[in-house]
Amino acid sequence: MDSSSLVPIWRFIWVLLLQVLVFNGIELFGAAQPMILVLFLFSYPTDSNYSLSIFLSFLLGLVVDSFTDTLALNTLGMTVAAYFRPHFLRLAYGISVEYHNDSKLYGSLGQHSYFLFLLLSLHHLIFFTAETFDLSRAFVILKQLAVHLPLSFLVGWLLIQLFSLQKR
Amino acid sequence: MEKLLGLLINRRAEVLTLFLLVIGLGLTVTAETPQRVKWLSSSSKVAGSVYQIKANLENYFELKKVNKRLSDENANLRQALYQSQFEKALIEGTFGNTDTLNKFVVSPAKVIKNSVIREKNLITLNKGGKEGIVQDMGVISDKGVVGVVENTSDHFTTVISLLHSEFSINASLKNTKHFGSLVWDTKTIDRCILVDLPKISNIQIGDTIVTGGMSSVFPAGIPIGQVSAYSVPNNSSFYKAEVRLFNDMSNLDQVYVIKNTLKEEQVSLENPSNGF
Repeated sequence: MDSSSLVPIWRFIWVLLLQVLVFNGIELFGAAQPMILVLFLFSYPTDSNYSLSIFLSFLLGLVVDSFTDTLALNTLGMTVAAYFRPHFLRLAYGISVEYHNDSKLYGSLGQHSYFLFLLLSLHHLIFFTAETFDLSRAFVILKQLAVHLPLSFLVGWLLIQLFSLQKR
Repeated sequence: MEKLLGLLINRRAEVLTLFLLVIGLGLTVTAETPQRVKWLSSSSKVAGSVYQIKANLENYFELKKVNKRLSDENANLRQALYQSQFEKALIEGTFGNTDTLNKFVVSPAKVIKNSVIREKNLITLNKGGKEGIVQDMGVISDKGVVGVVENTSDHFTTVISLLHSEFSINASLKNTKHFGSLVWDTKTIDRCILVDLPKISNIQIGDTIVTGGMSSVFPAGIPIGQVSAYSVPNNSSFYKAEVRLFNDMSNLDQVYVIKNTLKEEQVSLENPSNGF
């Protein structure tokens, strides 16, 4: 088996262990927890199979949900985020992202941050909407987003820099 | 048929996403029922074992702190035990007859996973069905009520935390014995709300709230918290009181699972469908 085809599997395990063993234990001020599952989608090779990315994201969400007793909230968030990933790629990096055949993302710091923000926002929005399950409580959903999103973004961004998941 | 097949192949990402979302929504809905999907829970064998390993590692580095806490707790328990035995002997003259004390059996367990940031927070313990833990047993710590057992596997247990939007227990004022229901309004992790407390109870800020003993889950008198504010909603005959919890729910470690040995007898007597 080509070693590059194992990259998504390693990233899957890496993100899973980080979330379950490290970040699930962090509840800042009893209110916010970094949810960095979308780093899997961020670092998923751009030239790899799209349907496989959706399935692996679903699986990653499901496994994390089984560890965190969050029903299937991460499962839903990750599946939707995986589906919209190509759109977010184009939004953040432009059309050219479809034509290069390198598995890593090339772009400026701003582009990487924008891409990460889009993935995190959608995942968190689906997560908290499904958790609240009541659109009339939109204020609660917005409050949860305001509390969790900045922390997840900060931690995600630091991890990206630390592990060099992108190229400039 | 060929066209449909072609469409499915062309739109396989959309079809797959839709299929997986249906599964996800299905799991969300079924997980809300009492027949919660066992493997989608932190009391499952795999998740439980991972948390156990993590907790073991953390405990190793905190042994000194834990020892200190346990010895303090032991001292307090002994004091409480001697006090209650002494009072019992004085009142009833039956020192040594411990039938009433033995109604509740207490077994220790460790918290290996805890959450306080969700609306429906659950706690995972390192003991399960093999140690005799079953659904609806009470869970307390040395400081007070923690929650009620939701689900068990052979070696692990999930507990519905006090900080769960659908959790409610019978609670009373320690001084006057007037009772109400304790619920969590999801706003802060150190406070719960005591509702349906009669106006006649003459509540005061600083009053201690304990379990009411009207359910078969907890013995009466287990501490819960202190009244930090109260009000009477418009045209109501009941107080609504804010209770500051004794337990720091974000920092639980050693807990005790309480088994009511006479629960079945009590429930069958209280259940209107028992034919009486």
